[in-house]
Amino acid sequence: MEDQEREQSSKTIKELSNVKVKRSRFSGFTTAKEKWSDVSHTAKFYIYNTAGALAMALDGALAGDMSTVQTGVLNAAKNAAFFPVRKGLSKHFKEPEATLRSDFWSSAVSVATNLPQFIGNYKTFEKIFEPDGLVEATLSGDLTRATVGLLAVSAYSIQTIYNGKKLIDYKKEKAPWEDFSEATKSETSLWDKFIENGKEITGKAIDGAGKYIPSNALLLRSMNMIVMGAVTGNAAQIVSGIGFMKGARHRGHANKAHDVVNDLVGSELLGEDLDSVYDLPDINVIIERGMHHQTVKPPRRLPPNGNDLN
Amino acid sequence: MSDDINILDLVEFETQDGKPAWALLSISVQRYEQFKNDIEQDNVSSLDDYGEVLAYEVGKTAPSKEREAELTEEFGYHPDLNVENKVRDLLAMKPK
Repeated sequence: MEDQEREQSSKTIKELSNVKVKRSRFSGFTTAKEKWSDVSHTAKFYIYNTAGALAMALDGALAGDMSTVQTGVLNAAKNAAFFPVRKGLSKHFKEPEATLRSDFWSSAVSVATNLPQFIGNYKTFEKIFEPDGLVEATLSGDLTRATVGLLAVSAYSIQTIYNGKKLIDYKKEKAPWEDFSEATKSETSLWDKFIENGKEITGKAIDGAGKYIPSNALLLRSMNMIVMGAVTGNAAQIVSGIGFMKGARHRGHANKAHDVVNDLVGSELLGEDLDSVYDLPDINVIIERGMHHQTVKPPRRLPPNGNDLN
Repeated sequence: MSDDINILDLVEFETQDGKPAWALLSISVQRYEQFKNDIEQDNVSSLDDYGEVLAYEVGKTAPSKEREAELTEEFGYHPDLNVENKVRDLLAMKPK
């Protein structure tokens, strides 16, 4: 028996050595330390679906097919957005869990609705690669580095979801909602805090920041964070983006935020859909449609005063 | 970075005696860039230098549908992601 095993091992080594590789292709993610068969169904779901959703969103972006992008984003968000709720991170928010779940979904769905505008924004693509410092690779068209960077970010996202340990201290930054909880004593101070943070974030994240007022840039940054978090399955990024966006929604600043976005990207680009950024869709419909790879039904509209439904 | 999640890569290759073959590799994120670079440079010698060879078959250039289903069940293999081509096309897009 041992001889047979040795013989087989020797044959294997020979067959895998001095090879000539003709082509290779990324074929998903797998667990490194655990046997795949020992991994829970839930973890497999996250790992497998995030990879698929990533590819689907890329497909949609390439084809300019908003429905496919939406589905890809939704599927990635489906993996990522529920994670904080499941892991008990809802304690960091003041809102009831049901509202949070709806918020996560409405934000992911709304941004997906407006995604073509953001896909067309080169800064958005930069941010896909930013976490690994691969902007340069992107700009120079280095396919290998760009692909590896994208996959590395995705693997890291899955890792984050898989282990559930790195959400709060992602990049060792304080979670944004913690900052805002300090600033919510009055609406005025919250908005001031937005602008203050916006200046800082703008300076770091967006070139030519002088073109935008800080709150514009912050809102754009929030949306970009959510979009990119959803596309790459990065729960931390989604939560951070929503953390910023929520301030505007929940403190009666929806109208102001609406104006800011209009001012920034132009109402002719977004049209009626812009309102959906602040709508709360029926979560069950969204889940069902997301699960079945269908186009998302436009979310419900807010009352004319633009106040939050809560 | 990520050390619990590896990248799966399906490799089509020729053995040293010229037979067609395929292998499914589990490669760490950190090693993946080196692997892809070495393929570009035609500098790959032994596949198991880069990670764990989860499965391979000599005599065929790709797994059959039945084998693919097994690889999915056993390792989480995803047959049709095609990410490299998508990134290539994205890189070719001009910013607005």
